[in-house]
Amino acid sequence: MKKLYSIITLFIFLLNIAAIAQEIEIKEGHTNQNKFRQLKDKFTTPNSQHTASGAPGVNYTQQQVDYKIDVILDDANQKLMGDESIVYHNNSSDILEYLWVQLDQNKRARNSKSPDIEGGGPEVLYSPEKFYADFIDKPFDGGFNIIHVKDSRGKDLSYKINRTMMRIDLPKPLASGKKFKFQIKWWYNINNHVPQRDRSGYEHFEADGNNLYVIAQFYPRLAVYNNVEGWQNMQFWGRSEFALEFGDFKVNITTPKDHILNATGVLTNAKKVLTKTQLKRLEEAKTSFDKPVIIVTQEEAVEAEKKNSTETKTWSFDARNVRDFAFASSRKFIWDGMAVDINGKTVMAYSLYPKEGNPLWEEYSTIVVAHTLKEYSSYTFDYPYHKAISVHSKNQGMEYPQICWNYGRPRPDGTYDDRTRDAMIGVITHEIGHNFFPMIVNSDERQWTWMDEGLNSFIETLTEIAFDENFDTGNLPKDIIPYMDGDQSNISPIMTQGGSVHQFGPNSYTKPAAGLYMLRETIMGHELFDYAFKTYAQRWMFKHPTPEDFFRTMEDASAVDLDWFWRGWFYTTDFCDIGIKSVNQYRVTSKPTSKIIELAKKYGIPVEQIRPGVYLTTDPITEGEPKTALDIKILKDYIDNHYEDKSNIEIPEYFYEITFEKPGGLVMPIIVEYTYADGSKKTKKYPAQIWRKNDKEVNKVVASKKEIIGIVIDPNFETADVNTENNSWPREEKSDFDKKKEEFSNK
Amino acid sequence: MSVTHIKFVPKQEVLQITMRLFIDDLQFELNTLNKTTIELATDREPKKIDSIYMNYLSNNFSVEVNKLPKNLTFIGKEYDSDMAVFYLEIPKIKEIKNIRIENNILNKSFTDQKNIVKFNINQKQKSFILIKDKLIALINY
Repeated sequence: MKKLYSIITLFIFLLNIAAIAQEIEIKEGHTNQNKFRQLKDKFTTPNSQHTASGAPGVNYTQQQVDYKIDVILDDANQKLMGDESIVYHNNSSDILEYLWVQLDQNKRARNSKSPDIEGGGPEVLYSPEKFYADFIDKPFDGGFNIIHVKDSRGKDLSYKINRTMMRIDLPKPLASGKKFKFQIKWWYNINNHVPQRDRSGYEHFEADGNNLYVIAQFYPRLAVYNNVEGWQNMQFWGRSEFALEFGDFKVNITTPKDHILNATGVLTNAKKVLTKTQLKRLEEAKTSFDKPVIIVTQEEAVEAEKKNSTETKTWSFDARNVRDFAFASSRKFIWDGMAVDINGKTVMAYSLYPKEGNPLWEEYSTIVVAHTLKEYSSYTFDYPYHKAISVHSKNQGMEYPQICWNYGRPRPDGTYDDRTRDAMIGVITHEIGHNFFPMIVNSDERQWTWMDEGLNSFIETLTEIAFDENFDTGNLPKDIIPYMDGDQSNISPIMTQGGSVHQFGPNSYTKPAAGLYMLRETIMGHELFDYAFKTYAQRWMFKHPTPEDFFRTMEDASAVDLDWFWRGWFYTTDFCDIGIKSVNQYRVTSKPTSKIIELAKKYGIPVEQIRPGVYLTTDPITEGEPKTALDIKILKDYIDNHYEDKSNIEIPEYFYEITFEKPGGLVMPIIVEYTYADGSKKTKKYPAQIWRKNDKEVNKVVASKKEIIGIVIDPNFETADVNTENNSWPREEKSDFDKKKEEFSNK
Repeated sequence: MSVTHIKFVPKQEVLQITMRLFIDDLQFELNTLNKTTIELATDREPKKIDSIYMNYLSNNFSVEVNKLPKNLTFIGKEYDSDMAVFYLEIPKIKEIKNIRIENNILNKSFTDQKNIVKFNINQKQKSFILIKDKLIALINY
């Protein structure tokens, strides 16, 4: 009998193969397109600089660039002048024949090619301002005016400017381990940043005649020379941001005497630039851990606004191990600050804002800075700098080391709506968060926008939810559905150079953030995810990571194979759509089913000789069949013989075969919520690997003590499933509108 | 262009309204009217955008049922590629003898704006194309 059983088993196996072969005639061979295949076709080969584990290797190198800059802010003419001396340390093992310097201001030069690559037809309607700006106005006379480039002994150096990049021709090649000192003197006209939404410049306040400066990308900055790209000297077209080296800065900034200024780095001459009262308040702020202390008051700012001092003063800053330097200056600034305890170390949270930002700014800005530093530190590393500043600036959301510009302006009467407040809290969290990505975990923004924007938006999301659990972050998996479900010609894989992506926001911010949220909440779990994410942040703090370093570390530190997730979510525009194709109910019986009888017949085996068995069947029920599984003698005997303690044994009474379908290209876990006849619910998550052998359809046999009356896939919208019409059994008889309404009310 | 579907569901005693329009057009209109520079459907979208929409829709899309003005209930919105989709409702409608729509959507900014309104009421379907010089659709049943 045993032999017969084996033959039948074998035969069933063969029958299955035959059935499949009939459906799919494989005429040609194929390469391995399995969605779980490893990413060896996409990843660069690891080496001793960027290792297979995703960590920096023994031969990893990066350059260092130190700057001393004397800057004069000419408020009367909106001009910035600088005299800059640079020490370039060649830490690579290569010999360099030239250096590349970034001239970002040239994006605004009259001969800039940035406007030339923007296509598109005429506007439907032009406002007079827009028409004038587009067709009549002369282009702004921006861009760097390079006065000289000299070596340390004052001798002119040969250089060539190619738009936003300047090549400095070294008098003799720079050997590994050597440094090169040189000087650049320059000036440029500062742009009004408001009309074109530039990342830096000034805003002019008509009412009091003052300017509020947010100054960045203001000095010729060395391009990155790294182990994977050599010189990162891709032009700055305007969108894809920066790649910068770490170094030490000593910067002196001369402004009108009545300006208040803050910048990257430690203010080393506070006594010279602040009043005694302000200094006293600053000291008070350094011990105020519960609320901000006003250092420069609104009354003092309003008083300063009225003056227009022609005298000057100089602010001195010393910044260590930063990748960039920026500052903000105005007569209009109110300044407050509070202390933040980061694991025993005191860090200062500051805000600078004009009276136009109040009362919103004094209520929220510094508090949000402090909260952000704490939350981000808990997911990455203790914030290593001594301060972080949030500066109020119209329409801005832009980040630099230790300082960032943020929007959020109340109405002129000082009132504001929740939208304004939450938008401000959101942008401050985001831009302060950029101190971690990319200011410290220094990825190449020019190439990969998502590596800083996406990772930052993800931690921003956790930070906002910690601030207010009902905060609408806009970065959850459900939020990316409209984008992923959209027209494919208007979507790019995340792994696309920043300048070329369609729909920049969803592509580079929301989708990576939602993907990481999904990994943490649904695929890996908090503990495994958080450890791996922290490992990545700590491995690459103050270094230049690549996408592979992130992908590899997340797997290396967690033992979770994520190649399928990276491939689908980051390298394709596939979307998730998983549904229930069918549900069949079975009953248990000991009576040979029609299937087994048919099979036996084919082999010429009499029905009586089929060995006793347990069957799941949909055959019509006949008299004398067992009512429950325990009524089947061989099963009962088996249980009695093997298990003395039966208190933990639950005998199922209901049996279902569920067929899941996957019209979407992404593989994802199947999250299934079962609802039972008694109203209780149970959720079961089948790992994504359930799709490893069949990418279109899989089925499961589910046994249950209680009757299942409803099945819903992804009930909490965790997987960005673009089509929920196939997500439930029995199928709902509701219109799209009704379902949307339910969906909205669930949100 | 905008497309609005208006459907009466007697079982639920409700008038269901779905409106689709281009996000770029809507953004231009809102910023022109409100003198703002908000972005819609980007990462920079204000967090409380729904209240802006509701304010705009109630001021620019009015519905009278049986000669009585009705308030719109904002059910929700979604973005579908470059379109914004609004789901609106007018509850407590037992029967419809006549319905009047005044549609000013987007025509402050776009002189050639076309607003298509499709009615599915009392088992009858009817469409209107409304323009700046013809803002009103009226049906008697």
